[in-house]
Amino acid sequence: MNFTRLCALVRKEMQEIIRDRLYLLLAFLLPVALLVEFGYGMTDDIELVNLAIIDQDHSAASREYAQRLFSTRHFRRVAAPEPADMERALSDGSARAVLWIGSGFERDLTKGRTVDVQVLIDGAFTGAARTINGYLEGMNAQINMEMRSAIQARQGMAAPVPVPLQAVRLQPRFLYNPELRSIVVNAPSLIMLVLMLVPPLLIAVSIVREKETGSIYNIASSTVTRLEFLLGKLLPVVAITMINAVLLWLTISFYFGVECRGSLLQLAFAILLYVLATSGLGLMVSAAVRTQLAAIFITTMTAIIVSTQFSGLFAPLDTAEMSNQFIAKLFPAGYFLPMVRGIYLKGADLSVFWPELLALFIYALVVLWIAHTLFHKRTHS
Amino acid sequence: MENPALIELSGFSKRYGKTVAVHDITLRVERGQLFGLIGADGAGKSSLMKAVAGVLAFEEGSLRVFGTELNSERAAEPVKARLGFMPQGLGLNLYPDLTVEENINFFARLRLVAPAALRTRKEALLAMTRLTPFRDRAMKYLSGGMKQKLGLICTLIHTPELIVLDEPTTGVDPVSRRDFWLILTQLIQQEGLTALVSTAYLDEASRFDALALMHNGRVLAQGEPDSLSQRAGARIVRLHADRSALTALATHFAQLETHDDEARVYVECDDDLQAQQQVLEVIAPSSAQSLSVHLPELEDVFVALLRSLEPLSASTPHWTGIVEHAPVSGDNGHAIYAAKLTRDFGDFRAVDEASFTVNYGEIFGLLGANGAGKTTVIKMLTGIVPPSAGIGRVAGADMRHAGQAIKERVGYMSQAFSLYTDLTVKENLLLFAGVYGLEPPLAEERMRWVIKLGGLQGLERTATGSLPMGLRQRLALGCALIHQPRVLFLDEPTSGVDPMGRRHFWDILRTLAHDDGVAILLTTHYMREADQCDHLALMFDGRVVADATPAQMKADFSAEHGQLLEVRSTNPQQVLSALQAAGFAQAIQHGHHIHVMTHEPDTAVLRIRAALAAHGLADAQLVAQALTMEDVFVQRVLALESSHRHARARSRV
Repeated sequence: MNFTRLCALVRKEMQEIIRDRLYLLLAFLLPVALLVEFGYGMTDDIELVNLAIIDQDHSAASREYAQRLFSTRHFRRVAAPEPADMERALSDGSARAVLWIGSGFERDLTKGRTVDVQVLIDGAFTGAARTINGYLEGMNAQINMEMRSAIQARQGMAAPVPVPLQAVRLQPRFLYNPELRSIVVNAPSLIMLVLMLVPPLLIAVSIVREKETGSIYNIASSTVTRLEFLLGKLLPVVAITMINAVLLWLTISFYFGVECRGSLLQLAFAILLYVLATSGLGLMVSAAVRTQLAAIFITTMTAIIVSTQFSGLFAPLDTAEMSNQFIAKLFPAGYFLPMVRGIYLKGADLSVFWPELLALFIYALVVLWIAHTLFHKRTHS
Repeated sequence: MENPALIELSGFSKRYGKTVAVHDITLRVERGQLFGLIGADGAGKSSLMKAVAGVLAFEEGSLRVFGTELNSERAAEPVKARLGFMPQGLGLNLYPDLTVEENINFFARLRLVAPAALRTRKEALLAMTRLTPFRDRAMKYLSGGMKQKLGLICTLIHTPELIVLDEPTTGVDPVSRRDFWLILTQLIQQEGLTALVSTAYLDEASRFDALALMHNGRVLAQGEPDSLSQRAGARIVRLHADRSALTALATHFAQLETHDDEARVYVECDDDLQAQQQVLEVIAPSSAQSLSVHLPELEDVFVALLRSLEPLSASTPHWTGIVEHAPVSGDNGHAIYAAKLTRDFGDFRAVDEASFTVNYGEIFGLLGANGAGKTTVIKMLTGIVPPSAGIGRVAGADMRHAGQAIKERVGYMSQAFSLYTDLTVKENLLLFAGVYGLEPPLAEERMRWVIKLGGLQGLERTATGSLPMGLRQRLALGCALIHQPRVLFLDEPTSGVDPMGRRHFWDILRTLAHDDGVAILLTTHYMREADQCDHLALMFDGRVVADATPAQMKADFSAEHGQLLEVRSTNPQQVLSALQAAGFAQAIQHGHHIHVMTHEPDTAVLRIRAALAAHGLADAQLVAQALTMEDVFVQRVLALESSHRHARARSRV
């Protein structure tokens, strides 16, 4: 390897990047834009969900129960459908959830029996459905206890089950603070997603552009080695991405207000290895394809599918199916996510993650080797 | 002892999947040679050159460069230090956001040129190409000719022994092209370079030491340019005759070009007198005027070779029968009327008071260097760009405000042919018919008409992308004609098409104009085509600086500059310096030939002979040559450029 040539390649790359406004925008605006966009987009918070209540008991207790549900900003009451039309109300979107209070609600409540209230939730958006269910269950538990003790007090009977005083006072806002929770958990995870997407994209665009214009022949017809060329593309992108990592950290800390609990230096080291691995993936794709369109499509689709489905972003990997666990092992996101979560959220020390670090390091070497094997200076077409 | 060849191919073949790009080529390039590959788009030139540069693998045969067999990626590496490769596409391999100097520096560092050596070489090459004043300009803001010269510098910066240049002059105007050739010739002599250069312009052939004519992946002929013309065993008989005589000639001789009353007949006969007789057997001697016999030009030889390949081409086009429209009134019957057309882009005046007229039935050629304003004129006339001032009228109407009825009298064929390559021939024609609002029954009828007239029968269901360039060009013309316009705009319609295809195309244009009365305005960089126009306008710096028939332009030029004398020698460089020493300061090298303009040919001939004899160059041949359109164009533009520079220098003072 010749360092004069490598420096020439890196220098030219930097000059081009700095002068190409579109590329510059792509390089520095896209990561933060993605972070902010996904940061809001992925929040589990829900407000004013359309809720219908079918009350067949028509009692004071059932009316009060319903009223309590709508005392928060989470639910908005919509007209109750006929019991036979419950499902249609959900499918046509007029309600996201339907509660059915059967007759005998107050009677059973008074007698201290368990009351069954049927709930039907729109399951099209699994995440939102789960959240709605959580809200309802939580509120139901709280209201239930309040109402039961109120009724028992009215009737002068001793409470069949001792009810802790504190539970009654629980504020739903406390228990169900989804906005805060989702951003805290998600923001560091988004570093994984953004850095899975952007570096391969930048690399692929810059290599395949040279293939399209024919300037790749300057390299192919010269004595530049394949490794020099690949490193000449890799290093500027890694440098840009590390600057981006700082921008991401600033955005998460100051815009979203989530501070890093672990060591920033350790975080930077983990990010560096991760970026080397994801950029290497970009090199691999660029070596194989011929048009920018194909390069952009492949890197973007891979990044989005891998980082959302096979990284442990929404569900922990160790509970996933074996096949999914295997796929996750093929991409760097799954190794990086526990590290970034651990360091950022829990203040974990990097030494805990040495298997992941080692995996990423080997990963980076392997993809670089594959790219080197796939890239040729003398091609067949 | 035989000199080892620098490049040696034998039985070389290259395929892309099932498509054969190059078939069984055997070829030698000697050290120090300027070797030309000449052929149209798709002839296989690029594949061959990429293989020589070691960037393309091939399937069969052997390829040796510097004596090294290039049979693997690894084997090709050592050769790369000694060669420079410039791929096809004007400046496409350069980095647009980098300045001229940064581009050069990048190539130099890539090639490990030592900083001190780089400084001197860079300055020398910049000075030689006159790019020194533009060293800090971003490459993307250079003109076509400048990009091409920068590409050459970058290819040469590491002092290679062999350079491979793929179509360096395509899309560049004749002045920049001549400039480029002068620089290249000079460098080759100074540095003992060997160069493999491809071109689609046959008129550049005389600049090569040796060349190969390529077509459809095969080499049809190779050798020195002059010997190729001699070996063809044919003569060109030029004469003037009346129409019936010309028709008689056309039935007897398959290869014949006519223009007005003048004919160039290709006679397959190796003797001047016999060739002349063969022509005079067909027409009465009395009907032939100013008859002369010449050696065929390379283009004639090429066309003859192509003809022997496709003797009875079923696709010979036959365009007639444009339906007569109602006569168009206004503008005194001018088809195109431009009066002081002006267009400013910010501070930049692209077109400056351009005035000209084009009549129905006339082929009007708009010439000019890249950036002279030709395309902007066409855009203003067709209503795409509004003029800043002046009037532009087509078919009696201003295209900006013209209604659909008038717009349908105009056809436009762009440089890129703007066909949909994934669609079939039929689908393309029906699409354009639809665009011009033809109803289905009429569209079907016109489609059949275009297919018949364009000789595209049997190709209706063929994907356009798989057609050869010549047919694609005819289809593009067909699409521009599907609504039977009365005025036709053609922007560089023949670039990349082989000479046979170009001749067919011009036959169509002549029929359209002269028989059917269509007005045609076209731009071209082929000066041979300019010669065939009925009328020419030369643009320079946004202005129309000359407006006359080709014959008139040549006559004006002769009156001003005199007769053209050509000196042919195996040692052109020495001849050039001998002549310059003898007081012919404006002598110009043109390949192996030196051109001198003189008002007194008789005394000049004597002076030239004396000068040559004094330098021991008496074997050089001296011929009085007819002026070509290229001579006129290049000299005019050069003169304008120098007065332009002076004027600017004065205005700065």
